[in-house]
Order: sequence, then C-alpha cells, then structure tokens
Amino acid sequence: MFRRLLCTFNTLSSHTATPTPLLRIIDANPVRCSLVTSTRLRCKASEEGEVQEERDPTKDRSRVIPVETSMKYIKSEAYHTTYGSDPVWKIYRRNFKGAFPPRKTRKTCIRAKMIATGNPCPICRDEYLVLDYRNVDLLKQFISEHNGAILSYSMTNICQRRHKELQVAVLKARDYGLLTYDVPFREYEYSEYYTPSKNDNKLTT
Amino acid sequence: MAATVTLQVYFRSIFFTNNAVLRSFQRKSWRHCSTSVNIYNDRDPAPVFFSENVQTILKKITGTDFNKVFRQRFDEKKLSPPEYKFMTDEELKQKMKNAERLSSKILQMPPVLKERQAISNILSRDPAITGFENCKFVFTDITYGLPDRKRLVVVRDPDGTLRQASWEEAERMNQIYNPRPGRKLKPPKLFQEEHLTNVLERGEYEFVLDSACAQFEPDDPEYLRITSVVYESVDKKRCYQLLHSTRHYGPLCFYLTWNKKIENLLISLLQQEKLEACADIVRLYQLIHTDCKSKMINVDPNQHLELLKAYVEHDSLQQQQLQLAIQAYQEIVRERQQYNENVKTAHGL
Repeated sequence: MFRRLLCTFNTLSSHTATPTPLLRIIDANPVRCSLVTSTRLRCKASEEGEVQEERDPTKDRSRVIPVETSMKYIKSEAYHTTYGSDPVWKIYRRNFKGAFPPRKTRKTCIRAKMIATGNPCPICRDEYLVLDYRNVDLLKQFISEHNGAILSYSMTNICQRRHKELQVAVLKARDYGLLTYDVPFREYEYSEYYTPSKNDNKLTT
Repeated sequence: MAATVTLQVYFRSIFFTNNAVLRSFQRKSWRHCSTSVNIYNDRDPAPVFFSENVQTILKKITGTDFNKVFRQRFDEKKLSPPEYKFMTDEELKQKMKNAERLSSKILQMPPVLKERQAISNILSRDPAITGFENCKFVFTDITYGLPDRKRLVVVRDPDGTLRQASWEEAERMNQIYNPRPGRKLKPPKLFQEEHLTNVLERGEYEFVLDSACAQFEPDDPEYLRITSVVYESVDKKRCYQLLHSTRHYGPLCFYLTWNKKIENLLISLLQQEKLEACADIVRLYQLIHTDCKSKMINVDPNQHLELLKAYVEHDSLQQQQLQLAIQAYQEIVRERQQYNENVKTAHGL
C-alpha cells in the first residue's frame, strides 16, 4: 500500500525531470511525510515502471564479506590506523537519553540489509568485522582477560543480535580448540579404576 | 530369567529410554595419527602406576610450584578481590599447610590404565519379540549416588536380545542422566586429527590433556590415543617444562619411561641442572623395567650422578648424546665452583 503510494509519487516527480530529493513533503498528512523521509523506502521508477531500490553505499550491508577477508583485515595496516591496539568496542559511546543507559542494547542495527540507525554498534558499523569461529583475533577482544568469560554487552555495547552471534562463535571456537580455556577440574576416585590385589603388592615391593 | 530378576529389582529406579538416536550413535572411528603412537596394550600399567614407590617418585618429580598450581584460571567464575591479612607465624604455617593440601588435590594424576575391553554380555535372547519395535530400548538405573562405572545400563535390541550396554552407550546415558561438568554428549572436534595437530602446534598441551580428562574415561582407547599423541608432541619439541607442576607431568614421565624414550627428557633436565630429577627418572625406569641391566649393578641410590651414569652405560639408546650432556653439566658445575673460589680468594677469605 505504502509502496504503491510512494511509487506513484516518484513517477510524478520523474515527469518533472528533477532528481529525487531525500526529504519531501507531498501531503499535509504528517504520517505520510515521515514515510518518505526513510532512506530505505526511497524508490526509483525505471522507464518500464519497475521498482528498483536505491541504496546508500555507506549504509548498505547486503554484501557478504568472507571470514578470510575479515581475518586479513584485522592484521592489516588499515585496521591498525583505525583502532590501534585497543579492542574494537573501546572507542564507542552509546547514545541514550538521561543519565542511565537502557539495560539492554538495541535488538539489531541492521534491518533489511541496511543500517537502520544513526549510531550502529561497534561490529555493525565496520563492515569488515565478521563474527566467526575462525576469526579468533576478533573473538579474543570480547573475552575477559581475567576469567575468560564473554564480556557483557553492557561493556562492549554491541547489539543483541551480534552478541548472540558472538556467543555462538566463541562456543564453536572452543569446540574446535581455537580458543583455549580452563576445563572444569575432574577429580578421580582411584578405587573405581584399580583395586590392588595381593599379588601386585608382591611384585612392586 | 536373570534379566527379569534384575529388572524387577531396579524397577523403581529405572527409567527407560526409547532412544532412536542411539541407533545412529556409533563413535566415529577417527583416522589415527601418522606418527607412531604407543598405547598401553600388551602389559597392564596400572599395578606399576599405582604402586607406592612409583607414586612417590612421580609426585616428587611433578613439583609444586605454587605460582603455577594456583594460577589464574580462565573458567568464567566470578572474580573476587584479593584479601590482605596480617597473620601470626602459626596462622601462616596453617595457611601454607592448607595450600599444600589443596595443591596435592589439584595435582592428582589421572590414572594410567590399560585399554578397556569391549562389553559383550548378553543377558537373554527372546526371539519372540523380534520386530516388536525398530529401535533400541535402553534401561538405565538412575539410583542417586552410584559411581558412573557401576551404574547398570542394559539395552534391548530390536532383534529381542537383552544385553549390557557398550561403554559408549553407557557413557552417553550417564551424561544424560548424570551430567558431569566439562563433558559433552559429542566429543569436541578438537580431538579430530586435523584440529588436534593445529592445537598442538600452538603448544596448548595442558588444555588438550585437561579436556581429554573431562571428556573421556582414562581407559577409553580414544583417551589413550590423544594423550599419547600429546606426549609424543611434547617429547618432540622438548617442552616438558610446560607441563611441570601440572597433574599431567607424572603420566608424561611414566609414558616416556614405559616406552623407553627418556633420553631427551634427561638431557633437557641436565641442561636445567636438575640432577635429582634425572636420578628419580632413572629410578622410575628401574622400577618399571625390572629386568634392565643397570639395576643388576648395585649403585647407591643416593649417588645421583653415579646412578645416571650406570643407566647411560647399560640401558641408554643414545649413549653419546647423554654422555655429552653429562660432561657439559659437570663442566658447568666445576666452573662455578672455581669461580666461587676465585671470588673468595679475591676477597681474601
């Protein structure tokens, strides 16, 4: 319904041969106005009248970056100049109203393969940071150096979806032995495994 | 008949699992490592390992470096701030005693056992119920407080035979009803050959051994395979120090001595000037291989160097290298003595 509305609007504008602006008021109705301001929904009608989305390249996240690229990136000069030796979440500040931040971070920064927020989380904002079990250098930045636990999102400020991905990746990396940790201690009851018989004592003494 | 009796006895505490998953459950036979791996097959190491003399020697050579035993643990437990206290000497002594007791608990060696035998104990055959179901029924005794190995698990196969569960099936049932922390239903992929070599290249020996302890029973063939691969890798890279003051150092030395591969270990110990540890290992060798030649010559066991030399002369497979190491050690000791004397004379003492 909305789409059709918008398209009709765009076809109208193309008749006048002016480039589609970002924000335009077409109606006195404020609800419709707000719809047009959304970057995601901006449409452009081709000559046949087909709908084609115009994506802002800085916010587009439809391209899938392979893990190998990400691993290479983390070792590269470009990464070093952006982040230095700090973890990627270090220089990031959440936007929130009032003195206390909301307890949870936002659900996701990326909707319909586009960045849907003005302040995406430390992982969503950098396209080349891919959470995967093989990307150990990245995972290590989210693990406490004191007790080996995954750092809370209240500290790292990553969105809930990325946090879930992080947990999966860390568990998987541990399963593959790429990330090491201290396994729970196992105490053995020797009598379960071996009970000395009289013959054995003779042998060994 | 016997089977029905047991079932009646355990009727109250038995849960039965109609476990279709078990049909597909067969431990994957992973490819064995290309490097030669010695597993305790022919002779049972348990009586030797658990004998008092061997245990004392193993505990002694393990060492108790408190910094290593009570190191920072990455186990996701909540951190607590350190406490600083003023104590009297007596209190301090008490604390040290407690720490020693705790360290001996932490350093408890995993038992060294022979590979276990497969269970094939058929309780009854009832061809009348063949084809009643197309999956197995597993009956598990879930009485509280039973040790895992004594828990009764029986399986009714689709062809009507009632048998005792195999080790793998029993372990799986134990993990379902009585989960142990650190053990998983499926063994971690880290134990597969390609991932294991990767971990060992990074030198994470303690991690691999710890997780093998948590996952497998000490007489599981898979456990024996993994530990021997790790020990071989440690021996190849000669980084015995990484396992020193951990619970795995004793079994490592035991493994190397059992398979007569202690030359590299002795050399590296000599380079660190730990003559006493060398003598202990030679003593361990004589205890394990009771028919060795060096035992025939009665050397005073308190003479460490003599004991070592006797071993080198009669039993060693790499005599020359060991002799060179001993010479180097002696020279270093002599030089140090001379240096001290020189310092003393210079000071006019």
